[in-house]
Amino acid sequence: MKVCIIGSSHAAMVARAQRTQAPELNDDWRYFVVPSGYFGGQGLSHVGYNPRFQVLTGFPTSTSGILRNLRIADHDAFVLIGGQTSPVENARLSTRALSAGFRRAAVDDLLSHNNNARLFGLIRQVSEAPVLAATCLYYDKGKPVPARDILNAERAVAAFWGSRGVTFLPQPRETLDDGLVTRADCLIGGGNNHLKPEFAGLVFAQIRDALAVRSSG
Amino acid sequence: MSQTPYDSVPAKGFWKQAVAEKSLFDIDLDWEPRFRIGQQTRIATFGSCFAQHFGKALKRRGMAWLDCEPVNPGLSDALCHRFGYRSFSARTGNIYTASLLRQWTRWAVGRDAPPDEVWEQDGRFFDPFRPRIEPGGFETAQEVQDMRAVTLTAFQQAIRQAQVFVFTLGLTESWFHSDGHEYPMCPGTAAGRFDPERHQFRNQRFEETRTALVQAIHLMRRENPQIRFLLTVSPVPLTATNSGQHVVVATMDSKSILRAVAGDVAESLKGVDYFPSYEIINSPAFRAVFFDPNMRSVNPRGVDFVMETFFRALEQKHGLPPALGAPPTADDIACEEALLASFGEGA
Repeated sequence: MKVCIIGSSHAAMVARAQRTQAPELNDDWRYFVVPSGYFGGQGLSHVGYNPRFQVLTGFPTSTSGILRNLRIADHDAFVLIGGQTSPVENARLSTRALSAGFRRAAVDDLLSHNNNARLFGLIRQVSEAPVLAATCLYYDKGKPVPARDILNAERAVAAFWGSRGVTFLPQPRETLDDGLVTRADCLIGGGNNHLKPEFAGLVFAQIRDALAVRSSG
Repeated sequence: MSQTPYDSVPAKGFWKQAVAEKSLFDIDLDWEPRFRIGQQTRIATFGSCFAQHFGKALKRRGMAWLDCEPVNPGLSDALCHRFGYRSFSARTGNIYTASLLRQWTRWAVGRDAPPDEVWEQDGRFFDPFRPRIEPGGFETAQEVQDMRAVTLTAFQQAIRQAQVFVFTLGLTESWFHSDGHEYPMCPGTAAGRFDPERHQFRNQRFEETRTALVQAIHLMRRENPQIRFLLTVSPVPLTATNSGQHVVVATMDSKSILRAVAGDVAESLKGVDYFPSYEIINSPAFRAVFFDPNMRSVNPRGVDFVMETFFRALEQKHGLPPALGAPPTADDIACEEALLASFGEGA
């Protein structure tokens, strides 16, 4: 099964985990990664689509084998990582002084106007292959958000993707504290807000298991 | 032939050399900023609709544009602009007149309390002082008041935090309640109902406009003695006039007063400057090429030309570094490192 993983730098952490834990998949799992700081801060927004050749374009080149273009039809499953805000950010709407009308519109905007949704739409123009989607890390940069609100926001994300036939991948619970934000000891640290390899391995396992279910189902 | 003062006037002072012999895209109005505006200078922007371009350009340039009423960074600009966020430094909506600026300032600093007037229409509620800020209206009258209070706090923060307050003057024609408060739009246009007994039209003249602007500036300086002001005049013509004049004549009347007030205040008050975006778009030297076919909307090329002129002056006169795109954040840098680390191993 040719699996295409498209995402931000967090997808690169999954790549590292996969290559350590399951090197036999190296030929079948392909990574198309655009760190958020690339292309003047555009990150995944820089990825374009060429309808003539049905390829996603504009991925950065790399000496380590990353491809510039992604031919959608070459893949049997897709995994979208980090192309939308985390449920923590979505839940933050409940903590702010906003009108009810704006809050509703904002929830819809966060769910539907993001790179995961955009890339999913482009993939579906060509392929009916299974798609899995994960948000950015549950990372709380500001005023704490109640865990109950994060849970509700996570359910809303899952429902959004579920209604589109996409499997939502919540962040592994082992990496979250009681407040449902990423445990500090799971992060590399020193300003590097990425999961340590052993915890990125949990995300890899989650993807592998979800794909196995999709394949057998 | 005797010497005259014109012998020492530089080329920019002569129409022939500065305009007639140049391609219009090579005309440089040679704005001389009176104070330094650097990459880290905290800038607030308010005013008529053209002021929104200023804020957006400052953001794109990675300058310290103040957003004192921020919403989630993941939200699309389209949604935020529809609801009046990320358009000005607080969610005031358009502040068209100098007297509206004074009114917002008096409310924000606690000199006056805003009236409790709320417009109801088909079960939805609208803020008379920013009737288009919430598409479809608010759910309750209380929500109108609560959200306005949030914006007033944000507006006060903008005054207190700004090192430079950019204000774009837009109109002289204005609508007042008989109790004295001013509306940004005629009641009954965007929302509400027009009542000829209570709603009064006033086309403000030079002295009234100047007084309001100066009072607003003084009020803000009590909150923030270091604040400086950069005034501009919107080049966008009036959509409609209630003056009885032809809309072209009314536009020229209104803009001439605003331009004169902006120039006069910049000349007479310290720490106040004028930037000639109005001239760049409206002067015959530019042959109206920066207008859309309706001859009212300023096209993106015009906006770019205005902002290029602004930034070029800051680069040349005050050493603003040339645009390089947004600087990467700490997270971005970490992301790049993570990418390299991952693909450098066992690839």
